[in-house]
Amino acid sequence: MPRANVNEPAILVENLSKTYGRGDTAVQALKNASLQVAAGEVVGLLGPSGSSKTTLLQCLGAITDPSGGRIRLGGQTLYDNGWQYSNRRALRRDQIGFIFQRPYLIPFLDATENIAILPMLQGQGRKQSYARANELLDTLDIRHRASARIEELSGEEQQRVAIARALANHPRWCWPTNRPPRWTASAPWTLCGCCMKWRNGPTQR
Amino acid sequence: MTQTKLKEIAVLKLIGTPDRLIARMILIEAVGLGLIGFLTGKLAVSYWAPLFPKHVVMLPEDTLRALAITLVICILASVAGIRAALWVPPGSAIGG
Ligand SMILES: Nc1ncnc2c1ncn2[C@@H]1O[C@H](COP(=O)(O)OP(=O)(O)OP(=O)(O)O)[C@@H](O)[C@H]1O
Ligand SMILES: [Mg+2]
Repeated sequence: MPRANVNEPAILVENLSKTYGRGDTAVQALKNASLQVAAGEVVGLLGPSGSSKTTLLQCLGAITDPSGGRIRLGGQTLYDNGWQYSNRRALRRDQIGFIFQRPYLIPFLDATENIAILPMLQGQGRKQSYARANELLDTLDIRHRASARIEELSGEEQQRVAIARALANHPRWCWPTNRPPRWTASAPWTLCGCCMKWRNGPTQR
Repeated sequence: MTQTKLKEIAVLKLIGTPDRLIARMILIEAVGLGLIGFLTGKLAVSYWAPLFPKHVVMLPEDTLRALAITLVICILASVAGIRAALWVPPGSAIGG
């Protein structure tokens, strides 16, 4: 994977369009949307309901197929009137961290396993994956709940595990895919703190 | 497949779990549940049957046949589950 080009914005979206459905019921959600975000810049996406915030994030996260346009992330072309990666699931796993509106942890895995599953899916060994999970549990201050089942965790503890999961594979991008309404006041700072720490000293694979 | 289940599967897909692994998880779960059900039934029959006045003769072959039928039903049921799971779009995990 090429390293990020310093001269290019971290996120570059050009003339992105997205139409849901076709014919009479087609909805044009994005029409020539363009956006630039510099590395390290913190950007919030605001807009009334139905203004396609989620749609844009889903396109950036390689979850939804755009209908046209271009997406470049750190000098890599992700989409140019078609995806440039055939295995988008692997792309998401390796390079993009997602944080959802709700934690959506896997209920039959404990806190540590929910994080370790990411490196394991990538093919890393069990020991290494657990070490990474423990490191993140420490960073997020929930190490003491490491072997708790998900339903035994408080809402914020769950959200912390979800953040740890998002960061597990050292993603190059991290999308909080929506406003997280249930967060207590400290949680956004946990995320910001994590991102800052992560930005300042990324652990390279 | 319940809605919550499908959401969990969407999350698994979203974080990069391959379809193969998702299918295997569903299959193992279905067969596991079937086996638990079968054992419970078997134990219930062995312990409670003597308490009932009328008896049905169960030969060992019948038990094996019942086990086979249970497993087939579980596998068929999980095929339906797997189809639903493979169809669910990863984006449905996000909502809003
Ligand atoms: N899967 C879909 N199929 C058809 N239309 C859709 C689909 N998803 C979104 N839309 C439509 O696309 C438009 C943008 O939706 P989107 O969810 O991106 O808005 P939003 O800005 O995230 O809104 P909110 O603030 O309410 O979450 C809306 O008109 C919506 O009805
Ligand atoms: Mg939305």
